Amino acid sequence: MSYLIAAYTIVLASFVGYWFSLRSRRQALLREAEKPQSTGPS
Amino acid sequence: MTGARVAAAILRKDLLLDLRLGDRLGQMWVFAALVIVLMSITLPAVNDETRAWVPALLWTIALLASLLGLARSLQTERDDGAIQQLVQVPCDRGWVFLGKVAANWLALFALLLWIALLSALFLDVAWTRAGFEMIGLALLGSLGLAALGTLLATLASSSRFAQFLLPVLLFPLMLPILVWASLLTRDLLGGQISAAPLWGVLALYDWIFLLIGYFTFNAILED
Amino acid sequence: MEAFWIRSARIWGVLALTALAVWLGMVVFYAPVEKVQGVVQKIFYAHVPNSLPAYLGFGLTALGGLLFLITRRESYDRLAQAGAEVGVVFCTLIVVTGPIWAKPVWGHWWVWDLRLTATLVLWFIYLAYLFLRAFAYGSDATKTFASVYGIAGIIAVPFVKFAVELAKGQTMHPDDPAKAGLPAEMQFTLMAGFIAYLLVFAYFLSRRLEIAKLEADLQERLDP
Repeated sequence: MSYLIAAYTIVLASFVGYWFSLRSRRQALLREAEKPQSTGPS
Repeated sequence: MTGARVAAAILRKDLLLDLRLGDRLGQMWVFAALVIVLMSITLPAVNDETRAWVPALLWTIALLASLLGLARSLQTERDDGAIQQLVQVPCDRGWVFLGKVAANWLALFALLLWIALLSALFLDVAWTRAGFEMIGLALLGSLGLAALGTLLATLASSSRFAQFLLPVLLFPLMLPILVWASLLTRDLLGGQISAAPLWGVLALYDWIFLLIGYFTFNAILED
Repeated sequence: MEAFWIRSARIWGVLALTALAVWLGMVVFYAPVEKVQGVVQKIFYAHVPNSLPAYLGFGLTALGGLLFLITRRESYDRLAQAGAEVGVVFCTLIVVTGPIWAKPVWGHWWVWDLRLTATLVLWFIYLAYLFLRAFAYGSDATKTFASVYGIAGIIAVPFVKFAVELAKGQTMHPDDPAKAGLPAEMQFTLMAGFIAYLLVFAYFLSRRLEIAKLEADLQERLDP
């Protein structure tokens, strides 16, 4: 039983973890894109 | 025929460099010798049962030692800025790849001969039993390693972590060659006739990666 | 094509969540408990469906790489990149859930059999692809180099399988589940798993493509 729970936990946690990583990367990029152009590092 | 001439010129230049400086070959040889001596001391004495392990061990040592030579095969060009001139060659740049592979092939074949000598000395491997087919196998194995190694060393050289990237890129793709060469070596040493398909598939694998390198080197050198 | 994927991300997300809920429900309440292995057999439904998204991701990496080398269109390179990353996520799950199932059933975490070994090597190949991208200087050359490696990787796969078969011999891994004569309940639950995982894959891929596009746009703005 513990093997079963471990397997499903790992799968679902990986999905959530990867989803979270995608989300934070996307939001950081969107924030970056919204910044006015002149303040970007040149 | 300019292509073949360019390849030959690169081969000659690399050979001269290898022979004159000797550092690339020397590094591989010293490294291989160290690993074999270390293994010979550490492992229990080879008996009939463990003899089957020796071919795989030797091919793996060759792979490890080859990293030292492959990593440097494009380094000289990069350091001297000669890579710009290679891009300008008046022919398909695939020939540059073939020239490089040829130079690495000879260097790696020499490495295999050196490992064979050391293993005969320290591990009691009776190469005479394997016959001339063993030379053919060494040529095929080193050709595959040279083709894959030249291609992947070029890819890895674009990175700050080339030292790390080369084995990471190379080892998984080298696995088939390692397996076939080890099996064939074991058969040859055991005096068996080994399966013809194994030779064919080994040659095919070499050929495929020569082709991939030849056709993609245009794009690779361009960038 | 790329724009369609990026715009449809939310839809894929909703579909994926729904399908995951249905799949989990079927695993818990609908799928029968197998007689020999008992309840651990249900790991099957979490393990097997990873395969298709993983292969699909790596296939897209090779395809995108090939199209990029031919056409030099950046969107193909982004497709290759996204496919590799999402494929590695699913391939990791195959490699991790396999041993968790193997330990109670076979008694070992890992056996060097054909399928396990070949999958592990596949995982290493595309992990190397991600390393190649991550550790490069981020120039245009990286895209070309990664494309070449992505193509070389997929070509090597059948050879790796053949080599591993020679070295390690017969597999103890169960056969294709469709042929194994499973009861209908098990097959339906497995099917639900495949659908759910494929939808999750579509969602991840669309989001990953969006990130790659945003990165490219930002890069364009910084140094046009």
